Formats: sequence, C-alpha cells, structure tokens
Amino acid sequence: MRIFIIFMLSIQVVLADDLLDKFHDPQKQAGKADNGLYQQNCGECHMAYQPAFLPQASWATMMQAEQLSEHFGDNARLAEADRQAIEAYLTQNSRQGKHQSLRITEQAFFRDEHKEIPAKYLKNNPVPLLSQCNVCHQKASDGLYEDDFVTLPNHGRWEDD
Amino acid sequence: MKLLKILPFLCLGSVYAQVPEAAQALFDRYQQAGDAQRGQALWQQQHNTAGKNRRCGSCHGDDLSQTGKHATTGKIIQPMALSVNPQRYQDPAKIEKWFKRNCQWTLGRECSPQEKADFLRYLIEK
Ligand code: HEC
Ligand code: HEC
Ligand code: HEC
Repeated sequence: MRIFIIFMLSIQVVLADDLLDKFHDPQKQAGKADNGLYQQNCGECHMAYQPAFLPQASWATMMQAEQLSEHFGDNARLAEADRQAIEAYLTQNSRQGKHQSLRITEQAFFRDEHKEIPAKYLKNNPVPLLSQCNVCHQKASDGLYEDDFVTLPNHGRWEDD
Repeated sequence: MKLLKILPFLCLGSVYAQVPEAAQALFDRYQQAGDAQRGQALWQQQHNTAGKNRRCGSCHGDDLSQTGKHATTGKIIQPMALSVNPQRYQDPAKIEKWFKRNCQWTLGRECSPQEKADFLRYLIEK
C-alpha cells in the first residue's frame, strides 16, 4: 500500500512537472519545425517559426486564404491543398492560449523574455529586428532558444546578469 | 576510340546543362525564349509602388552573384545567378509563384509572359 502511494505520488509529480513545463515553457523546447512543406512555403521570406509560438486560433486566423494574400503587407498565398496541410500542422502543434495577435513578437511570453534587451539597441537596428529570431538565437531553426546560444549582433554574446 | 564516340554527347550534355529543364518548360509555356538584355534593363528599373521606390534588387541585391536581403524581413536570400547557385530555377511552379508575388510587390501588377521570359533568360545566363 505504501509503495503504491509513493508510486502514485511520483506519477503525479512527473505529470504535474510535465504539465507545468507545457504551460510555462513550451517555447523552450520549441523543437525543429520538421515539416518539409511548411519549411518550403513559410521559410522563404523569414525563418519558419516554430508552431509552438502561437496559439491555435492565431494560426487558424493567419492561415485563412484571404488573410494570406495580405500577410503583413506581403503576399503569402498558397495552393489550397498546401494551405490546408500547413494549417493542420500549425494548429496541431500550437501553444495554449487565446488569440491576441498574429505576431509572435507581441505575445506576452515573448515580451517577457525580451524585455531586458535595451530599447536603444533595438532602435539602432533598422529592419524589424525581433522578428528575425535567428539573428540572435544561433540555433533558432533547431528550436534551441536557451541563453547558451544567444548573440546580439554588434554587441556580442548575451550575458544574463 | 571509345572516348571519341561519346565526346559529341558530352558536349551536347554540357550545352543542355546551361538551360535548366524547368526554365525551358517555362520558355515553352511563354512561347518565347526571352532576351537577356531586356531582362537586365527590366531588373534594374525603379518603380514607385505603394509610395516606395522598389526594384528587384530591393531584396535580391545589385550583384546577382552575392546574397541579397529581404527588404521587409531582413532574411538573407541566396544568390540569384545560376552560375554560382545551381539550385536555382529547377521548379516551374516555384518560379511562377515568385514571379507572381514579386512582380506584384515590385511593379504593382503581374508581369507579362514576355517580361517573365526576359527576366528568366537574364537570370539563367548570369
Ligand atoms: C512573401 C513573403 C512571406 C511569406 C511567403 C511568408 N511570410 Fe510570414 N511574414 C512576412 C513579412 C513581410 C512579415 C512581417 C515582417 C516584419 O514586419 O517583421 C511576416 C511575419 C510573419 C509572422 C509574425 C512574426 C512576428 O513579428 O512575430 C508570422 C508568425 C509569420 N509571418 C508566419 C508565416 C507563415 C505561417 C507563412 C506560411 C504560410 C509565412 N509567414 C510566409 C512575409 C512572408
Ligand atoms: C535582438 C536579439 C533577439 C532576437 C531577434 C530574438 N531574441 Fe529571443 N532572446 C534574446 C535574449 C537576449 C534572450 C534572453 C536570454 C536569457 O537571458 O535567457 C532571449 C530569450 C528568448 C527565449 C527564452 C529562452 C530561455 O530559455 O529562457 C525564447 C523562447 C526566445 N527568446 C524566443 C525568440 C523568438 C521565437 C524570436 C523570434 C520571433 C526571438 N526570440 C528573437 C534575444 C533575441
Ligand atoms: C520583397 C522581396 C523580393 C523582391 C522585391 C523580389 N523578390 Fe524574387 N524572391 C524573393 C524571395 C523571398 C524568393 C524565394 C527565396 C529564394 O528562392 O531564395 C524569391 C525568389 C525569386 C525567384 C525564384 C528563383 C528560383 O530559384 O526558382 C525568381 C525567378 C524571382 N524571385 C524573381 C524576381 C524578380 C524578377 C523580381 C523583380 C520583379 C524579384 N524577384 C523581386 C523576394 C523578392
């Protein structure tokens, strides 16, 4: 009986840990966006962002056909079969939460993780810098965003203090 | 002796290799072979679209043998010259997709078959 309780408790700890991890930090293990069709069609103008960075409803909104032809001022329209397949891939691997913005860079978790980057630094770099994850996160395309792999251009390796 | 026999085929092969199959398929579809000089002039032309100065080089850069940089996202784009980037112009659907998007973005309209043939001839000869 005692062993059983310990066993159940440890399962719970593992489960809870897992849940917490998923809830707070799915982005840390964003993983590789390992879908060829997605890489091909959504990785040409910018890196193919990991599906875990936006909630399901946001991907679903972005992936509507009319929306894609007006994609942030660009035309990212797809053949219908590709559009459906990519939408399924993104929504099935999305993060939890409600739709707030189509931008990853406007999500609360994102703002939180990046608030220590000096505003002056961001202003001095012309193109919308924060959307180019791979400029600072050397292993962004492998889904590794930990601080061991962060370098700010013209600034050097990021030291957390 | 054997070499002599296959030599003509080797030469033929290398002539063919200069026009990727996908590009040839598009020249056939456009019903013209394109003109590299016209293509170059068109490539360098400035357009005023959406209140901004735009040209093909806005994203692909001025030197086709070098990488370019996407005007809005900043992503590095691999060189367009076929001679330094043999992966280019291998899929008619990809080429057509980008002509459609990039003509719209740059010129504010779609390109005609003649313009597309000229662009493509210029790009594969670079
Ligand atoms: C024709 C070019 C192009 C293609 C193709 C494209 N995008 Fe974009 N995307 C853009 C531009 C331009 C922006 C806005 C960049 C900026 O302002 O930083 C953007 C921004 C985004 C953002 C928001 C980034 C941020 O700032 O948080 C997401 C998410 C995104 N795209 C997803 C996709 C998906 C999914 C696809 C495939 C269906 C796709 N993109 C295909 C051009 C493109
Ligand atoms: C200007 C450089 C820069 C850009 C661009 C950038 N980041 Fe970051 N990012 C950082 C810095 C600095 C940190 C903080 C590292 C630390 O101290 O943990 C960070 C932290 C993170 C973290 C938390 C990692 C962890 O383990 O705590 C995630 C997730 C992340 N970024 C995702 C992204 C995504 C997704 C994008 C693109 C949409 C992006 N970042 C763009 C600099 C950048
Ligand atoms: C707003 C940015 C932008 C502009 C301006 C632009 N392109 Fe592109 N172009 C791209 C991107 C992104 C790709 C796809 C990425 C890649 O192939 O490396 C691409 C790909 C292409 C391809 C496909 C190449 C292949 O390998 O099949 C052709 C052809 C092309 N562009 C022609 C043009 C022409 C012609 C113009 C001017 C009318 C032009 N582009 C202007 C961004 C642009």
